[in-house]
Amino acid sequence: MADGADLDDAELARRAATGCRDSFATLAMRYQVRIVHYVRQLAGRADRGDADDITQEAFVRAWRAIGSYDPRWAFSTWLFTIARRVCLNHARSARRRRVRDTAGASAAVTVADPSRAAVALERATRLWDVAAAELSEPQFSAVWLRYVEAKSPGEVAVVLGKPEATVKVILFRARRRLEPLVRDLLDWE
Amino acid sequence: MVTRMRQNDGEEKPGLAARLRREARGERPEFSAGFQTRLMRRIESLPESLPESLPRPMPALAGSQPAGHTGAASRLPVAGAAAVLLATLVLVTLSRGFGLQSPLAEPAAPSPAAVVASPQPDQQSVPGIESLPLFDEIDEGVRDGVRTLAASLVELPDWASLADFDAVALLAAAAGP
Repeated sequence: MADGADLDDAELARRAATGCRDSFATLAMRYQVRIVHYVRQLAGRADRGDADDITQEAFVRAWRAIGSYDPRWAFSTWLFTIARRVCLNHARSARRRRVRDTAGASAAVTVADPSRAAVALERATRLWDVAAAELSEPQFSAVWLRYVEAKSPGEVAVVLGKPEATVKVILFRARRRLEPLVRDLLDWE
Repeated sequence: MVTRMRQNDGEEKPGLAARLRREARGERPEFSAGFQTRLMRRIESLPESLPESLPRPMPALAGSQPAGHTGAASRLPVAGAAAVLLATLVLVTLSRGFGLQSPLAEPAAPSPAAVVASPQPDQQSVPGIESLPLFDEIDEGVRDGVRTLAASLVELPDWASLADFDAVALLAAAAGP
């Protein structure tokens, strides 16, 4: 299906912008696993089907907006930016649905529930489960992009839409938050 | 370096970052051909197949037609120009009077244009018509039609007749087949 496996991302994106679906298919194949992985972790509370749908939507949006891709940034950075936004929009919609469904029953559903987070943390057996339960979304995304995707703080800043200095603070606070928990829960050395 | 990461891009700190990375890699999902197939099917089924940022071809332009095609669409720019010219002509004609009288206006003396207009339609001439915008852009056949139209406007008896005036039909007739 996909041609141009030897071409770099910028060239494939340029060709995709002229309507070449094969070039976009190559890009999708190249980044599908990484995006799915991130979205599954970020939307960890949702089921796997949701995460895959979100990833599909992210790629469809990337295709629609491929002409606006700026090759000064890595294609993956642009793709993660889109995926994160789609994921957050999905989470907001789901939260609104939940609020509608439980209207009148509890006004505190939209607010983070410390006891629920504690239960999630208690059940966590994986490091990323701990991260998902304990970190805010920007902290989680920053840690993921920095340490799993090996993005520079500048690239993380692009994805999060925040200044680079702010991203460094976010990363510092995320690590400070995670380290004692990890030490306790996972027999941290 | 897999086992050591810089803390805050400064001091080296072992442990947490490497562990996060290792665990994430251990759980990495596999490539799914089904995902890819579904994605490409979705993209192909989008109503507009080209990415959004691409300039879309103008459907009415002659350039969008296959080579050698000279259908109705290729005549549209000429008809459009003629319509603009016609509208301008009507406005200019009415604003100058050309012997027409508004039902709300006092009777006026015949305008010079009405005097110049020839009684024979083929040789009628309305002053200023050659200098109207776009006049040079249109077909000679259409120009004749516009001249005829202008002359007929000069002869219109009153404003009421304008209401029944089918400019498009007249212009089409003047432009010929």
